Amino acid sequence: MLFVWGLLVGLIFLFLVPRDATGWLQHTYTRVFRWPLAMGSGLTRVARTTAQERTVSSREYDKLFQANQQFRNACANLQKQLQEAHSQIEMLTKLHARPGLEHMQPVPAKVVTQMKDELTIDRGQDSGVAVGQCVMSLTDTRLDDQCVIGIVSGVYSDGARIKLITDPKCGIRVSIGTLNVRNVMEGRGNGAARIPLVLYSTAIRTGDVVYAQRQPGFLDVPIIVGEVARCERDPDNPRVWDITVRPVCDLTTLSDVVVMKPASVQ
Amino acid sequence: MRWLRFAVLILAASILQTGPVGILALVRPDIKPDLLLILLVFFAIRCNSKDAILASFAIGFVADLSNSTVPLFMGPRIISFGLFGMLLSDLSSTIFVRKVRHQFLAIFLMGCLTAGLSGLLMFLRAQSITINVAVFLWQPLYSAVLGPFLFLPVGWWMRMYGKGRGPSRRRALLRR
Repeated sequence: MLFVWGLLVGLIFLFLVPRDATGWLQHTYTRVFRWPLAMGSGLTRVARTTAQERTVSSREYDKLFQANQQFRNACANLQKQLQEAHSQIEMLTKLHARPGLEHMQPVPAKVVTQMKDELTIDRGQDSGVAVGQCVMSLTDTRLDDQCVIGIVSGVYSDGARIKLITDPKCGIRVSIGTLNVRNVMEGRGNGAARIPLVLYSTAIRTGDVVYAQRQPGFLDVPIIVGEVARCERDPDNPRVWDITVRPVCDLTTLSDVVVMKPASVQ
Repeated sequence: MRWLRFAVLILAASILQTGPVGILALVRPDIKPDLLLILLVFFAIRCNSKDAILASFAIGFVADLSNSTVPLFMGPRIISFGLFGMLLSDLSSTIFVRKVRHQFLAIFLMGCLTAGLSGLLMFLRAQSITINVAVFLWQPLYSAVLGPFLFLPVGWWMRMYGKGRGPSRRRALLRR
């Protein structure tokens, strides 16, 4: 009979008493005997630490040392990656907050391959990148003077092709300085671009800034694309200028770029 | 049975089990002697049936109460200690558990069986179980090695100097 009662008590504790109640009982036990328990735990910890210090062999030490080194390397890498991610987030936040770009969503991308007048980046359709979107430079030092470097010419699921402004097949609508000149800039293929068909009567000087024009859905504000490097009378057509534009950033050393997509595109 | 002494002993054992016994841990922190298991076997083979059952359940209760490995669960050890304590108590009236090697075997078997049943009950309650060889095998083995030597001071404290009951009592009756 005594056994049955004991068994019943055990079953009640196991299946009927809520875990909170049993937890409270165990907690009470620990609280009531906290002093001897803490002393015992401390004693055990000290003994274990001392024993461990004594028993680690040189082989184990080497193994642990190597593991520690690997762990430190991994930590250092992670810290650097975290730092880079933080700086990228900071840059994108600043970029997003720039007047006129509130409705654009910057998509940061890494340059995977770089050929003559063409780039391949690691972001594509999956990130909302689409043909025709503007691509800008992204560097730590020149956040405020970012420039348009090209246009997305082809997309894959996880990558995209960018035609640089210097590519002869690339055409961007531009304006020059404060002048009321709207024209299409074409690449020259030799690290420069040209703006054709600008009347010779227009007052253009070397050093004038060239802006990529506002294009609804692709670029909400004009953004610098280059500057006039040379302007001469066109020998074939003396009524117009032969304007050579030089990109304001070095297109050959780009490692990070940012694709500007409308905020609504997922 | 001196229940006050028993209570003090069980409480002391549970506190020692939670803390200082860890010093005796071999290889891994969980391979250490189980004092409550040793006491369970001691009382099961030295007390009369009624006291043994009561003591077994009480030890099981304290074991569950002080169990730090699986907190928030009580009951598996009450049941397993109670059940196997009673079985050992019944067996000890027919099987002689006097020699050190018999006590060793009794503690080892009790350790394996109680750990097995506790694990099973835990599985039924929590629907998950972690098979820990240390608890199922090495801890009972370690307790079995150490247990017979602890019977002497425990016997002195409980004023139980007899080396097992049952057969000896039967023999004493036969002698009469």
